[in-house]
Amino acid sequence: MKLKLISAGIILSTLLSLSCSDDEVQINPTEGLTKIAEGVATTANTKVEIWADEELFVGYNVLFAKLSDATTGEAINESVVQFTPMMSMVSGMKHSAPVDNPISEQAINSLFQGAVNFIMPSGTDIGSWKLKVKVQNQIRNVEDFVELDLNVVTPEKTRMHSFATEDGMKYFVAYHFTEKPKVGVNDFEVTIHTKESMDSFPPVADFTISMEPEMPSMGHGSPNNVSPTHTQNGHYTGKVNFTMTGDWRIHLNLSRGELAKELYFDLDID
Amino acid sequence: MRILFYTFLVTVTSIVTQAQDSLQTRVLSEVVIQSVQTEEDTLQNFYRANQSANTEDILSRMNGVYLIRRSAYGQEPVIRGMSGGQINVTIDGMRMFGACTDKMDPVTIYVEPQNLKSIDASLGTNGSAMGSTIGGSLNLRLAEPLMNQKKVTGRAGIGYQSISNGINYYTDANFSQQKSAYRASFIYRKSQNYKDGLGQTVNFSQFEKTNLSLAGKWGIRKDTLKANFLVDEGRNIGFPALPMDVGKARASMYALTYIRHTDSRWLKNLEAKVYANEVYHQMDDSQREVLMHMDMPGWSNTYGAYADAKIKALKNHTLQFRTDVYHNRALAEMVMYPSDGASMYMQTWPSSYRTVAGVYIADDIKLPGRLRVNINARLDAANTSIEEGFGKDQLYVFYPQFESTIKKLTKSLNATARKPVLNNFVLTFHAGYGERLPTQAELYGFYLFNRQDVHDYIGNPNLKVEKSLASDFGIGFFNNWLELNGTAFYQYNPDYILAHIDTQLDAMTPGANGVKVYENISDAKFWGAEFSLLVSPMKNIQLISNLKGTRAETSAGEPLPFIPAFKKVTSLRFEKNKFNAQLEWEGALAQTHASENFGEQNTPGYSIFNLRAGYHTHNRLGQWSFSLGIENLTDKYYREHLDWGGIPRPGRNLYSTVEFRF
Repeated sequence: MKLKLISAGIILSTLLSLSCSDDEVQINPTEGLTKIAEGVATTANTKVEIWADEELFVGYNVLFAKLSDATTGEAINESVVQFTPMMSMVSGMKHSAPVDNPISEQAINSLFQGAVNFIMPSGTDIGSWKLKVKVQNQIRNVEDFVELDLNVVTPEKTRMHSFATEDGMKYFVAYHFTEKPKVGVNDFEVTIHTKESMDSFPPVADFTISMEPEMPSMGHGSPNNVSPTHTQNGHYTGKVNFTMTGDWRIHLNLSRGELAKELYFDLDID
Repeated sequence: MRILFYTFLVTVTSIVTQAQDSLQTRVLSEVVIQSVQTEEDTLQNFYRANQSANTEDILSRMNGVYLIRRSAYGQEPVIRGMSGGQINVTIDGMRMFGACTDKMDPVTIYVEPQNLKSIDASLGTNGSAMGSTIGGSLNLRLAEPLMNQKKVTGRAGIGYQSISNGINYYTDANFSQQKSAYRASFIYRKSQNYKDGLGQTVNFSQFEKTNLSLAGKWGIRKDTLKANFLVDEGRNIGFPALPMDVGKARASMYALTYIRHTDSRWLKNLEAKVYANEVYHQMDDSQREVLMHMDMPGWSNTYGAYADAKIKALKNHTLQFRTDVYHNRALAEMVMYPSDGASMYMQTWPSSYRTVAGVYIADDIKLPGRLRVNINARLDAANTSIEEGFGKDQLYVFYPQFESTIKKLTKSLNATARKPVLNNFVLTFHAGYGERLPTQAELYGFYLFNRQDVHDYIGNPNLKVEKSLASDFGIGFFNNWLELNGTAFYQYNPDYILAHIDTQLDAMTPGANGVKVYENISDAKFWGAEFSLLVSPMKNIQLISNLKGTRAETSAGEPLPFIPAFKKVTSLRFEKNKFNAQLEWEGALAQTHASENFGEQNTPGYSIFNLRAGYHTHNRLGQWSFSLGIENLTDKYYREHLDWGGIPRPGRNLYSTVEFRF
C-alpha cells in the first residue's frame, strides 16, 4: 500500500508535464506581409491596398486586398472583390493570367484573400503588369475599380511551368504551400490552368498527378507523401514530406487522357 | 564462513602488486549480503593485477559480460546477449547515457582502472537496484580518497604497447588527514593504428584520451560527505568498423554524496547523492574518403539523485530501500555538406527529455537451515517527451499522429534463494520479472545509419516496454583449494524490441540498402551458462578459468543479433617473493548462429595465449614494479563474433609498464 502511495506520488510529480497556453492577442492583419500596391477607387471612395507574403514573382501568388473608406479610413469588411491582372507586352499584345478571386464577400481579419498565377515577369523590355481590383462600397452601394501597377520578378527557382500540347492547348502549372514549407509534413497544392483566350485562363480539374520529392544531391526521397488530387478550381491538394533541410526537388507526373507531362520544382527548405 | 575467509585470502594475495583501496572491508561487508559477488571480486582483482589492463579488459573477463567492439577504444558492454537499453550501466550509482548515435561512447570508457574501485555486476532481471532492467546492470564504483593513512601517497606509471605504438601514462595521489581526504588521478593514453595478426595495419584504429578525476571526502561527526568530479576527453578516436571517427568526445560528471553511519538499532546505513553529468560527442569523417562530408554532434545531459537506506527492522531481515530520480536530455544532429547546393540538417536523435522516478525495495531474509532468500521489487514511472518543433515535425513524416509525451510504468520483481547443502555445495535459484523502457533512439531515432547491416534505422514512438521473465540456477562447490561455480539461465522476453525492414521506405544514407523500423516482436528467448573454476593447489599457484556462453533467438527461431560466441579464459598465476608470472589461454568457439538479418557473419573460433611477468622491489623512495608481457603470443589473426565489420584483433603485442608508488 505504501509502495502504491509513493509510486502514485512519483507518477503525479513526474507526469505533471509543462503546459503553457499562449493566448494570442489580436495582431495587425498585415503583420509579416509586404505591401505591393495601393490606390483609390474614386467613385466608391475606397482605398485599396494589395499585400502579399513577398515580392510578386512568376508563379502562384496569394494576394490580400485591404479596403478602407478613403475619407474616414474606416475598414471595409464586406465587399465584392475581384482581381483582373493584365499584362501589356512591349510587343503590343495584352493578356491576363489565372486568377482565384476571394470566395467570400466578407473580409477575414480585415483582408480579402485571392490569388494570381503570374505567368510571366514584368520588365522594361518585356511589358508591364496591372492589376484591376473591382470593389463595391456597400454603404454608398456603388461598384468601382482601381488599376494598380505591379512589379513581377522571375524567382531564383522556377515556381511555374507552362507547356503547350500538340493540339494547341497551353497549360500553366504552379505550386503553392498554404504555410511556409518546413521539415516535416506539409500541405501542398498544385494549380493547373489552361488558356482559352487572352482574357480567359480557366482551371483544369481532370489531371491525375503523381508526386515524388527528392534530394538531388543525395538521391533519396521521403516516405508517406500524398500525391495531389483535385479539390476545386484547378487546385490539387496533397502532402509533401521533407526529412531534412536543404535543396529539394518535387517531381510531378501529370496526365490527362493521352497527355502526359513530367516536370519538377526545386525548393530550398530551411 | 570458510568460503568467505578463503575468498578474502585469495583476494588479498592476488593484489600484492596493487594494494587496492579498502578491498578488505568491501569483501567483508558487502559480500556477506550478496555472497554471489565474491567470485566476481576475485576475478576482477585477478585481472586488474595486470598493470596494462584497461577497464574493458577487466569487463571482458567477467562472468556473463561480453563486449561489442567497433574500434580499439570504447567497447560496448553486453550482458548475456543483452545490451544498450536492455542493461543499466551506472557510475557510482549515477545514471549516464552516451551522446553518440552509433554507440561509440559507452559510459564504461569514463572510468579507468586507476580510478575504478570495483565493478558490481548483476545479471538478468536481478540488476534492478539502480534502475529497471531486463538484462542486468554494471555499476562502476569510483576509487575513494582514503582517510587516516600516510599523509601523502601516490603512484605514477607508464606503459608501452608495441602493436599500436601506444603509451599509457597514469598518476594518482591521495592526501589524507584526520577528518578529510582528497584524491586526484590523471590518465593519458595515446595509440597509433595497430597491426593485426597478419601484420597488416588496421587503419583508423588510433585514439588519444585524457581522464582527470578529483575526489574529496570529509568526516562530519559520524557522517561522511563526498564530492566527485571527473572529466574525460577523447580526441581523434578511429573507428575502423564505422564510416566515421570521433573528432572529440568530452564527458564530465559531478556528484555530491552524503553517507550517514548510524548506531541506530534499525537504520544501518543511509546514503544520498545528487549528481549531474554531460556528454558531448562529435563524429568526424574528415580523414575518410566519403561522397559527402558530414558533421554529427550529439549531446546527452543527465541530472539525478538517489537515497538509499539499509534497515534492520526485523530479526533476520535486512531491508534495502532506495528511491531515485533522473532526468536526461538527448539530442543528436547531422549536417551534410553536398559538393554543391545548400547544407542539409536533420536531428538523428530529435531533442527529447526523459524523467524517471523509481522506488526499489529489497529484503534479505535469513531462514532456518542456512537458507537465504532475497526478494526485491522495483517500480519506475517514466515520462519521455519529444521537444515540439523540428524533431517532432520530422517524425510526423512517419507517424502522422503520435503523442509528444510517452508515459510508462516499469515493474520488476525478483526472488533469489540460496542454500548450502552437504557442507561443500551451495545451490542458488533465481526467478524474476523485469521491464525496460525503449531508448530514445528506439522511440525517436531518425535515419540512424547502421554500418553492420547497412540500413537506416527509424524509431517508433508506439513501442511498448520490453519485458523479461528470467530464471537462473546455480550450483557451487567449495573446499580449501578449489572453488567451482556453474550457472544456467533462461530468459523469455515478450515484446522484445527489434528492428525490421520496412520495404515501403527508402534509405536516406547514400549506399544504405534500406530502412529498418523498431518494433516489438512477440517474444525472444535467451539461454546459456557460465562456469568458473578457481584452484589454488599450492600457496604460490592460482588457476582461474571461466567459460560463458549465450544463445538467443526469436520465437520464429531466427538468431538474434549481438549474441556472443561461447567464450573461455583460463589463467595460471605463479607468485614467488617479488616475482609473478601469468599465462592466459583465451579463446572462443565458432559462432555459427549469426544473425544474417543484422549483417552478421559466422565467426570462426580462436585460441590465443598471453604471457605476463612482473617484479616489484623497494628502495628508500618507495615501491617500484615492473611488468612485461606478450599478448597474442602466436600472432594469431582472429576476431571475436561481436567485433563489428570483420575487423581483426591486434596481433602479437609486447608491452611493458613501470610503476612507482610512495
